[in-house]
Amino acid sequence: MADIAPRIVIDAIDVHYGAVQALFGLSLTVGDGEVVSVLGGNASGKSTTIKSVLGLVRPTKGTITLDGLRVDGQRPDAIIGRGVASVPEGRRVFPDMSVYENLLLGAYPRRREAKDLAGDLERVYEAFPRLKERRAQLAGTMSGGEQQMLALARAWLRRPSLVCIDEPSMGLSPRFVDQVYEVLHGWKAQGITILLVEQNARMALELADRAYVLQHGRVAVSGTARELASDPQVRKAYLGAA
Amino acid sequence: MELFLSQILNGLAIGQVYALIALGFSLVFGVANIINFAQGALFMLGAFIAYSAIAWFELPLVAAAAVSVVIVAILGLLLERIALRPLIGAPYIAPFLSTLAISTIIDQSAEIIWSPESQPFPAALSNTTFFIGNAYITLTDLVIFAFGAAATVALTLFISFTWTGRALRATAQDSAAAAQLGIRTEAMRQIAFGLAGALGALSGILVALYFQSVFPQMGIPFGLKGFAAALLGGLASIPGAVVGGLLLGIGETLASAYVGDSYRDAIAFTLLLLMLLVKPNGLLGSKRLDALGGAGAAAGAMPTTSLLASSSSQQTAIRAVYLPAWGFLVVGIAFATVPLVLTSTYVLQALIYGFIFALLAVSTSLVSGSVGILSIGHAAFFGVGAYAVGILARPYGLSADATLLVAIALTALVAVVAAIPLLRLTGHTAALGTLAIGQIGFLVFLNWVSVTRGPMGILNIPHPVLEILGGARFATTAQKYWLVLGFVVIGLVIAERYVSSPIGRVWRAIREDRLAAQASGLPVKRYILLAFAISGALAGLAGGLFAYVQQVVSPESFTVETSILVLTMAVLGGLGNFTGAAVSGFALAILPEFLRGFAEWRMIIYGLLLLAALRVRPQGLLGAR
Ligand SMILES: Nc1ncnc2c1ncn2[C@@H]1O[C@H](COP(=O)(O)OP(=O)(O)O)[C@@H](O)[C@H]1O
Ligand SMILES: [Mg+2]
Repeated sequence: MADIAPRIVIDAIDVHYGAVQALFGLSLTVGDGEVVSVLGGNASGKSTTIKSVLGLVRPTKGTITLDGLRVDGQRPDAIIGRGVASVPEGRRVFPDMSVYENLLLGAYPRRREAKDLAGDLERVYEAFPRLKERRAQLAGTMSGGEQQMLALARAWLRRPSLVCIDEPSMGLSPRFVDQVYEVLHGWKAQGITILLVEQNARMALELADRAYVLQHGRVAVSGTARELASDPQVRKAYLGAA
Repeated sequence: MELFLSQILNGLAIGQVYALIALGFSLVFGVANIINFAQGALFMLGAFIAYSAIAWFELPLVAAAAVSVVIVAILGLLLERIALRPLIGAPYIAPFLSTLAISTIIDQSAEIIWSPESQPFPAALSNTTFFIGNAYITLTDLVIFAFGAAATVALTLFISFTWTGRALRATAQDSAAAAQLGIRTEAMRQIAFGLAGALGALSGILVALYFQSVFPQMGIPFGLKGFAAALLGGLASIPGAVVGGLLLGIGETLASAYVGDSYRDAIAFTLLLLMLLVKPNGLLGSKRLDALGGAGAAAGAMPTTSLLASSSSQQTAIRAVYLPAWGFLVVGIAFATVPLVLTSTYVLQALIYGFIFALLAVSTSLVSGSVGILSIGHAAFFGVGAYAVGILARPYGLSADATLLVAIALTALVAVVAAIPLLRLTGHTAALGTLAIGQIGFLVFLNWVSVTRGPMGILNIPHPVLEILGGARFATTAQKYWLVLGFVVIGLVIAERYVSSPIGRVWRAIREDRLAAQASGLPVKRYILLAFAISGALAGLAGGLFAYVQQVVSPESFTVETSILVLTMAVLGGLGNFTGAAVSGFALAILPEFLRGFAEWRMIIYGLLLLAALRVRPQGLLGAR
């Protein structure tokens, strides 16, 4: 692992929501081209970890660096501006905008690259024929699975080198979960670095190179995905039935 | 029939202007989730800057309009920067009060710069009249309609097809998600305020052309109408704002043609209240208000119905400091000795006004603080009490026992009726509902000449006589001092007993979480009406005493300025904290006595005080309760 230059380094951060502390000295690294998964039960601090990287919450202690530069305390748009895309928890598509407009907004940081955009949009429509069919429809009228596809496509239009994804399988039928992971495997093959938060440990560990398991805002276990997936102790204690 | 059609055409023109004001509200509400009370002030500034550019610098109309639009757009940006940005994470009601304070400061500054009088607008469009069949429309109306419509179309295109427009809409729909796509949501907020300023200025200029006059007080009534139009259309929707504006314009023009022009505004505000009563989500029904807990529960940016809650849990709570009911009695007795040592009529007179406003501030604090329905209309209740005494005291020769009793009962009744349209509202929307009530009250005092004698007012109100004290007459200043002090202390003791009783606890529960209160089976509506009845009774008593002290009752005592003043008193004291309200009501009422010569700066000072308090101590001096 050490030979891979780290893209994200989270070093001993504390995060508070008012009086509530959500993360306690959490550290984590994501190497270039790596897929790193953050696992853990409900309220263990997974989303907070990803929000810290995206600048949506500010650590009260510790540092976060992205490609060697400090980003803790920076605004989300500055961080996104450095080649990062986000697939938020619960998809968060814009319900009263068309599918087409949602996709365009994914490319907001590249709005001056009009030429490339048209081509990329075509590629998205090729990869997701459903979205092409429904491009004029309001995003809020689509099913959860379709919205998740839209959220993924929207993030891809950022043409990111690094994607933060929060629970992409949440609330989806197994068929859609498979589709989501098919897309993510494709991204991995393209060499996109991925920080993936999941409760669905089985799917995540198949995709990930390494994983961290959180409990009560701390890293309880970490290791390669293979080690974690095969360790019966870990599976029982942290990964539930997975 | 021709008249009818002509009125409709005429209404479309002014309605298009209302639509522009409404769009200003909608944009800001959509993107920043607050109702910008200062929209009316931006509108007024737009008209006056154009006025000055023409009258002082002799610019042609179009150039003057362009200058004004640019300046006011910049002022819109500044408004966001100065009055709102520092309040992120403050209690949910703080931004609204902050724009209210700014609006007060701007309005009063305009009176100082341009004089309080109405002035003819120095540019006019031609008065050529066109006929469509037998219906007619003037060129002015046509131009106004065309400009308004063009601005609306331009805005719609901008919002629909540009990157910035898309980003604005995305921010409005889901600000956190927009931020994760790399959109600078703070910048979007600023742009929304800048656009609102530009729209406000443009609509101000069009209104100046339409009515051919400008006056510094024009902001509030037109702002309120724009808000009514926005609400009619569902508050966050652009087509809704346009439809709402046109409907309001037509409705109001028809009403003024068939009922009388002096009722034009009263009818517009009544429509607003009816709207709030029947369909608070607007005609085009925005689900957005529902998402915030339902228009019935939390309209405005508030996930809870509480005025004082905030999105940041880092707020340090301030312990409220307040007197028990008997404490007011003790303080009252202490004050009763003052005339024994001080004979200056001037000082006693100032103290009398201090007492009356202490009572009025407590009355305001009751609905605004304890129940959480911010009242910007309390001057109407105050006025009802004053007029009741003014009307009954002389011709019927009634004693003060009788007149004050009528004042109290009548005002309580009026307050209860006024509260009915507010029952399903909270937050910013409820506040604007109370503003409409206050405006209607003022317009009735001004226009119901056969009863109130209109602008002349009621003069020569006799000295009060109390039958229960064996016909004692209160003629000297010292005697009136004791009379007022006595009644005010009784009022305060009763109010404090209510708010400290289980009833007060229910009020606060309703304020904190109306849905939960409802779910636990509390008769929420009855408790709110009770609060309004008591608050109305206290305001009526204050008004009655005020009439006896002034010996004159006239509409200008009951303007929106008075309402804003008493609300400021209630906020400064700590909402729901009656000791705080009484102290700050008393202090702020006697303060101008020490600022003689600065009379016109009074409202500016109050506005600055409110602004400062929101930044430094949003919980009020003695702590909200
Ligand atoms: N906006 C918030 N305000 C207050 N507390 C929060 C907020 N978001 C998360 N928390 C708290 O922080 C902890 C971690 O939450 P989160 O990171 O969302 O967990 P996960 O994504 O693993 O379910 C939880 O205890 C949660 O209640
Ligand atoms: Mg989560």
